[in-house]
Amino acid sequence: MSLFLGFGGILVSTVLGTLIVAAIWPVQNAARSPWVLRVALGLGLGLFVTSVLFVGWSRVTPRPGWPTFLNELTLVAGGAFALARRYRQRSAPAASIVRAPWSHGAVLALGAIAAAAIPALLATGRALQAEPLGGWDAWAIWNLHARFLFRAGQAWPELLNAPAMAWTHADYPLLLPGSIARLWTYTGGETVNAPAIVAAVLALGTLLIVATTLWRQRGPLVAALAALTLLATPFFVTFALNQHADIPLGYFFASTLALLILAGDRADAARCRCLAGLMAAGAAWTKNEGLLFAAATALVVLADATIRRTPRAALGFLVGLLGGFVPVLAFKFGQTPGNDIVSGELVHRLSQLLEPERYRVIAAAAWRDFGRFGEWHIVPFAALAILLSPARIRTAARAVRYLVVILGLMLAGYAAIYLLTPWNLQEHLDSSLVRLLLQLWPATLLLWGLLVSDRLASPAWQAQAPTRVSLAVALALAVGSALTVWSYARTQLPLGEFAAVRTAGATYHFVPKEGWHSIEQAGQERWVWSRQSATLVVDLDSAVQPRAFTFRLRSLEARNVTVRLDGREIWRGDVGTAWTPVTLPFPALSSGPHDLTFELPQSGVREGTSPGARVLGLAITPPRQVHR
Amino acid sequence: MTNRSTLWLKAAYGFAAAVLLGIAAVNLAAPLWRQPPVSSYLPAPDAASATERRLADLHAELDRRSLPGTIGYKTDGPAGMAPDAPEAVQAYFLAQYALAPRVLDRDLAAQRYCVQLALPAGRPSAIPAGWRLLAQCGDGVLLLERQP
Repeated sequence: MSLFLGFGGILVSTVLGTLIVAAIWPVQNAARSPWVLRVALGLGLGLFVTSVLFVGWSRVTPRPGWPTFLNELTLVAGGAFALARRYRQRSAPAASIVRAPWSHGAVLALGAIAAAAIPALLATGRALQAEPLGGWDAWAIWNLHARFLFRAGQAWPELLNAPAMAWTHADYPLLLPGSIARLWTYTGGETVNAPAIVAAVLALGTLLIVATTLWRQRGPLVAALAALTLLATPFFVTFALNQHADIPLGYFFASTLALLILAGDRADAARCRCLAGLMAAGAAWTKNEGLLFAAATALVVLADATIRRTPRAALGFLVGLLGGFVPVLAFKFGQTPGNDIVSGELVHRLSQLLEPERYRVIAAAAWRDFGRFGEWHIVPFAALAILLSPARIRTAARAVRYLVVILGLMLAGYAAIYLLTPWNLQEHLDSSLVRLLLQLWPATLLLWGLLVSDRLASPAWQAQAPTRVSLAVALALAVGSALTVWSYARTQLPLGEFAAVRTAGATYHFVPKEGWHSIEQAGQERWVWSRQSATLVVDLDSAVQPRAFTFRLRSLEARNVTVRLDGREIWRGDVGTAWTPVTLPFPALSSGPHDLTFELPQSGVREGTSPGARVLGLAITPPRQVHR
Repeated sequence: MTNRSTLWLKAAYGFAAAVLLGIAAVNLAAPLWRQPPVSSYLPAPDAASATERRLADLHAELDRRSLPGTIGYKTDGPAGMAPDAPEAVQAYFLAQYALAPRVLDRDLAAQRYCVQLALPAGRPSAIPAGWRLLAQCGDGVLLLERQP
């Protein structure tokens, strides 16, 4: 139920965000922006707007849920009404709307993206299973702030700003805490799904922004290659639901830059730029690096408008940026302590800018992390670089140059932050640089897609209509990927389980319960030592008939061992220092957990004389079913 | 450009795109073999979930007693463990996360009440001088009150 309500909350924010995007988007060019792109933009913009509403109401009333929800419904209804009127009055005749034809290449590209999404989804799910409450920043910052918003009523700013809480960075912006607390309010409790849903929405949005923008600008093959490269970035996939703010921030970076690219040099681009300004403000509402991004983007847009003497080109961006910045400024100047990096003794730290050693340390860390931040098994940079087109780089459109300069300014800004950091520089770099690079990765792929060779952007097969063969190949790619992933995943033993034995009727899961040391492994060999007596849980997914299993047992000294299943003795005998095969007869068992206890009346033997030496009782290997 | 060189270029780009797809396939599989699934028969293995479980009784006890918004926090670790040792800092952050919106203050001077956690989990926790036990919340977790 909580999952359903959580998705309901996301649906409302997405509809609201998409309506705002559609309302601002130029009507004449509606057909040029695929609905997927508008929804992808709406995913983040909706969270931006609804989190601002929730945070605002949380300062006014201890129960901000209902007023926020009513506000949202009112905005959705008003937006839908205004949009309908606008389109009715100004829409072009239907015949003039040119729809992108589905092509052979488009179908194959979609098939490839679907095939890549399957292992990526499984990896994302596993990462969430391993850390359902998220990583360090999730519980030390974002979800902690969400708990204060949700649990403390109107008192949350005072509590969060207490001196004892300085370590949690109360000045960090509130897109994630506000969105999570809003979903908790709607679901009526602190479901662990809420932070994961918010994280998933923005990771999906990032992928959609990159793919749909490039699909629009360069065609399906380039879009698919960029989407595949993003999905094949293990750090992006496993970090997506880790509930840090870096991927959400990367979403807003990519959205802003995508909108500036789509705006291009068109005369009616002011609305597109207005949306870009809003998204840049969304970045500032997500994480402090977003402030740097908003400033860098505004600087580039203003400089370009000044050089070209076209102030109207910057006006749309500034309107969106300043409108979106109202809550950011209210938060920053109204209710937070100063930021630890830029406040306090910043003037004294300016001398750090003159320390060559700091530059060397930053350069060394950058060199180390550029190639490894994605946690790739094979770094894709060389393959990506080969596909770039020198001709396109030379003749890049102005919007593409924007992107290069903004990314360059971001890197320079990050370097300046490291130069001025009050913390230990090496530790600061070690704990954050890979995440900063991940923030910029989707936007970098967007840039790559704009600069790859035209040969990839417009091969002839992309113009052909889809055939049965292309549909079959796309389907085969997706189904083949699903089957491969499923059959591989079945062979993997879950973390913490000692063994899983599949029989005709059921799977026996052997899980160490109490009295065991950690599971050990060397090559294919696997074993676990007990301290003395110890219990394995045998968990069954369905009822089973009697079966026998062979374990190999050993000890450091001869020991008499009794094995009991649910308290009933099933074997008794001596175990020596060599591995001894022992066949244990399992009776018929019901589904569910059963205790398999290995009893040693004497204490274990210390494995050595060092202070950390373990006391070892009995070692067992994974069981094998005895086939009679 | 001749037809022949165009063909070569096409082939080169096609090959490079295929290499990129191959690299993507390997990188897509990498997280799956690096991170096996988590057993559904075991509690969530991460430190945050473990702390939530460990401090659940204390959380209920604090609610039951309606203790004030800020309380003291200390750890009872092995001899030589510095207050800013990584495991001590992590335990403090996680305890703060579990017990929010109460503020845990490591400066005990002004605090009447204090939460004490044995580190690592599983160790017994001793009552420090100057404090009396209000509640024992299991697994080395104590709620203390300053002695008058």
